[in-house]
Amino acid sequence: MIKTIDEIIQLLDASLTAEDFTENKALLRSMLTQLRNESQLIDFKSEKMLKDKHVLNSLLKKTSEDLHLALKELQLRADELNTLLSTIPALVYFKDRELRYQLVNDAYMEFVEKPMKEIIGKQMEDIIPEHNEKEKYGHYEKLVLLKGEPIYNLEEKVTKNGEQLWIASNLAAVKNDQGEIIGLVGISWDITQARTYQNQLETAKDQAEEGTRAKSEFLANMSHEIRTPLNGIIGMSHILSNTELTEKQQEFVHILISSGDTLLSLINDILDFSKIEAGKIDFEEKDFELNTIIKDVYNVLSLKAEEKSLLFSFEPDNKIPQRFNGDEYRLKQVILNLTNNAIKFTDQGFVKVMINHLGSSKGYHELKFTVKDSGIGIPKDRLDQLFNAFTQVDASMTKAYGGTGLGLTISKKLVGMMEGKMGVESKLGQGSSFWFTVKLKYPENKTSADIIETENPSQQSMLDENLVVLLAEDNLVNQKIASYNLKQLGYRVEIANNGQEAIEKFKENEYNFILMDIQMPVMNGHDATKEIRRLEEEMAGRKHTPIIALTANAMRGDMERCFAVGMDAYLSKPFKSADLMNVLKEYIITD
Amino acid sequence: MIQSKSFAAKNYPEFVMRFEKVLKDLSFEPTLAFAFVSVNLPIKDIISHFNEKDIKLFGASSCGELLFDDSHELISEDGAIFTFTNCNPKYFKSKVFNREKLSSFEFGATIGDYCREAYSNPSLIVAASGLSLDGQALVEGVQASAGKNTTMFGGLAGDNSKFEQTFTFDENGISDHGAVTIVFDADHMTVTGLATSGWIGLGADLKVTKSVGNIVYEVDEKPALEVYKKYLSVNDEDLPAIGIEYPLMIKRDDGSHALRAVLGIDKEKDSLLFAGSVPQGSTVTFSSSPGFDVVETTKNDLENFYETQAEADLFILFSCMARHLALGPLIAQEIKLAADRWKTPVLGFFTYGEIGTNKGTSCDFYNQTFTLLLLKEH
Repeated sequence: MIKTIDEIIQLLDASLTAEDFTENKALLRSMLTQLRNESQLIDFKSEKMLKDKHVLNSLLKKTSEDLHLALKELQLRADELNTLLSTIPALVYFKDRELRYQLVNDAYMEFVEKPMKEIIGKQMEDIIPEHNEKEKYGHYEKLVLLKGEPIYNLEEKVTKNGEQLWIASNLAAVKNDQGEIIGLVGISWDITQARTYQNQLETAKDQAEEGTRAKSEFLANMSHEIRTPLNGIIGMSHILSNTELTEKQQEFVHILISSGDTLLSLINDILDFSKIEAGKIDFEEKDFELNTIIKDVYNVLSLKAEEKSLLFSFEPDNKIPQRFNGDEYRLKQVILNLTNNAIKFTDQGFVKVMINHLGSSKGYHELKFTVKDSGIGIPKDRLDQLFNAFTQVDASMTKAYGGTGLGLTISKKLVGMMEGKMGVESKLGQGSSFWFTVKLKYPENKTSADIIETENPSQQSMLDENLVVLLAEDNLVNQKIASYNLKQLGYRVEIANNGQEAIEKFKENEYNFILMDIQMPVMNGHDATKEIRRLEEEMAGRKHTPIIALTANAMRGDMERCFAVGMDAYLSKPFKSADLMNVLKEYIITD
Repeated sequence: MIQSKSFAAKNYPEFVMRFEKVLKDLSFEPTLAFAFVSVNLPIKDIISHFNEKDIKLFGASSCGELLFDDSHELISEDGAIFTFTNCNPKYFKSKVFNREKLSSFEFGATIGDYCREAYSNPSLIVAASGLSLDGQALVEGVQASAGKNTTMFGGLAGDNSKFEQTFTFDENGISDHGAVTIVFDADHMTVTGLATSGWIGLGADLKVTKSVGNIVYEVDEKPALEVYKKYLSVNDEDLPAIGIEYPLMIKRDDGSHALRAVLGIDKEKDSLLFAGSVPQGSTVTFSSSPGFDVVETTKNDLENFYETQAEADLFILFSCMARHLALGPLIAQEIKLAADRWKTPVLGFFTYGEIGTNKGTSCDFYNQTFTLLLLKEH
C-alpha cells in the first residue's frame, strides 16, 4: 500500500509539471482503485481479526477457568486420597516390578519406624529385615506380578522389637493404560489380636468339648447307678404280679411295672439324646399290639388327667390294624411325650389322642397320631423353634410346668427314624394339635414274642426241661430276676457270684449257655470269658459254649468290647423273657 | 464433453433479458441448467421460463452466488447465476423429492432408492431445503439404500443468512421442504471432487451429554445454548450467526473430525439446532478458521486433486456461507485457484452445509468446507 501511495505521490508530483495531465489521470485512477481494494481488504481483515480476538479471548478465558477448576478438583481428589491413605489403619504400599517401594502411607512408615525417603526405592529385606517369612511373601508378590490376579488374606509372622506379630495382607497388581503390569499394591494389617482371640476360642472350644465328654461319662455312670435299683423295682414288680393278688393289687402292680418301664425309658432317652446327637441310635424290630401301648399310656397318665378334671380319651379309627412290627417303646415314648405335654399344658377341657390309618403298602402300615388339647396354645412366632433342643415356649415355662425341653426334640427325631413326620398347629389360648406319622411293619406271624407276651409258663415249654444255664451275676436282686425269667423259659439255673466262680463251674459242668454279667468283684465278665474260651481250646472235647453278656452299662462300644473277648451275644439289663428269647433264637439255638 | 454457457442477473428483469439473449446466441442445444438464486428474486417466475423451453433445471436458493469463467469473476450476495449445459440426456435423470413427514434418514433412503433404480452405477448431486433437515442423517439414508460407496455431492439451500426459509426447485416446481437431485450414469460421466475445510479445534474437550439427531440440549450437563453463549461470550442475538463462524468440531473415535454449524436456537429449551447430527456422548470442541492462511490449505488440496484428475468440463462449487463470512473478499482467491488451474468454468453458491466425497473415502456431510464437484462426460 505504501508503495502504491508513494507512486501516486510521485505521479502527482510529475503531473504538477507535466504539460498534459490527461495521460496520468487514467493511471492515477487505476492506482487509487487498487488502493481502495486493498484498504477494503484491510478493513475486512481487521474487522474479522477483532471478532476472532473477542471470541478467542473468551474461549481462552473460559477454557482457563475450566482448567483451573479441573486442577482444583484434581488437587481435592489427591488431598482426599492422601487423607484416606494417611488415616486408614492399615499399611499401604506400592511397589514396582522389581518389588522396590514406590510409595507407602503414614501407617507403614510408623510400622517400620522409617521416614519415606529411607523406604522409597528399597526392597523389603532392607526395610523389614526381621520378617520371618520373607521368601514366602516374596514368592506371592512375584506370583501377583506374573499372573495379575490378586491374593487375599496372606498371613505371615513378623517379629518386631522381639514381639511376634501376625500380619495379613492383600496383594493386587497395578496395571497401566495398556493393561501391562507395572507393579503391585499391598494392604497389610495387624491381626495379632484376632489371632489371640482365635487361640482363646480354640481353647474354650477344647474345654467345652472336654465338658461334653465329662457329661457323657457322668450320664453313663448315672444310668448304670439308676438302672441297678430300677432293675430291682421292675423285676420284683414282675415277680409280684405273678403271685396271688387281688384285682386291685394286680392293677397297682401293673401301674408299678408300667411306671418303672417308663422311667427306664426316660433314662434311656436321656442316653438316646446323646446317641441321636452322635447320629447313632438302635431300633428294635418286634411284634406288638397298639392296644397295649394305648393302655399303658392311659394308665400312666389318666391319674394326672383326672386330677385336673380333663376329658382324656383315645379315639382310634376303626380301620386300624392291631398288630405291628417295630419298636414299641419308641412309639410309646413319643405318644407318651406328646400326651404328657398336652395334659401338662391344659388346665380345663380335654386331651384326646386320635389315631388314623393312612394306608398300607410294601409291607408297611402308615399311621397318624394326633394329640389335641384345649390348653394354653403356642404363639405363632414360637412354633418354629418348638422342636429345638431344650426349648420351651418360654423359659419361665420350665419352672411352671417342669420338664427338660428335650422331649419334643427326641420325639421328632424318633418319628423321623420311623420314616414319619411331626408337626403342630396351634393358636394362642385355643389349644394345640400335635401330630406325627409313622411307618410300621406288618407283624411277623407267630414269633416267640407272641408266645411270651401271653406270660403263661405252661405254654413256654418249647425248650428242653433238662437245659442248664450258668448265670454269672454278683447282684442278688438281679440273680433272682434273671433266675425267674430263665425258669419261666424252662431252664435250670446255676449261679456264680463272680467271674472266678463262673470259671470253676465251667470246668466242672457243661452248660447250654452262660449269662455273664460284666462288672463283678474278683474277676469281671470280660476276663472270665477270655479264660473260658482259652479253657475250651485246652480241654479236648469241650464244644463252644455260647456266652451272653449281661450289662447295665448300655453305652456305645460296650457290645464291641464283649464280642472282642469272645462273647456271642449281648443283653441289656434289666431284660425281659422276650428279650432273652429273641437273643437265644437269633444267636444261640438257631441250629 | 459438456458445453456450458452461464450468465448472472441482479433482478428479475435482468434475468428475463439475459435468459432470452443467451439462449438465442447458444451454440448448443441446452438440456440441463443450473440455477442458484437469492430468495429475494421471484423464483417461481424464473422457473416458468425453463419450463416453457423444456430445459431440465437443478436449482437452490442461496446465501450468495459465485460464477468464474471466461467472462465472469463474480461473487454476488443478492442475485442469481444460471448455467445452460448440453449434458447427454441418456446419462442423467433428474427428480424432485418432497420430504413431508419423513425423518432425514428416511428421506435420504428414498433418494437412495431412486439412485439405485436409475443406473447400475449411479452418482448423485443433491440440493436440499428446510432448516430442520439433518444433513448427516440424509447422507446416511442415501448410503443405507444406494450403497456406502455411492459418490454424492451437493449442499443445503440458503436464504441470505436469514435462517427462515430455504428452497430447492426444478423446472416444474419449488419446495421449502424437499430436495432436487440429478443422478448421473457414472459409466459415462466422471463425477468427482474434493471437500476441504482447514478449520481448527480450540479450547477444552466438551462432552455432548444430551442430544437427539441434530438438536443438542446439553453439553457437559449444562444447557447447550448457555454453554455456547458463555464460552464465546455472546448474546442471544449473535446466534446462530456466530455459531456458523465458530462451529462445533466433533472428534470421532477414528481420529476424523466433522464440523457442525449452528442453524437455529430454541430459547425455551436452551437448545441448539445444528446442520447435521451431533450424537449424544460425542466429544466436541469449539473451532475457528485458522486465519487467512486457510486459502493455502485449499491451494494444496486443489493441487493434489489436479494430479489425480486434470480434465474437467464443468465445476460446481458448494462453499459454506461461514467460509465466505470468515474469508470475506479472499473467498474469490480460492475459487479462482480452481477456475485457473483447470481453465474450466466454476459456478455455485454459498450453502448452509455441504455434501461431498473425497477420493478413497465414502461420502460425508460437512460444514465450513470448500466442496468442489467436477463433471466430465466421456
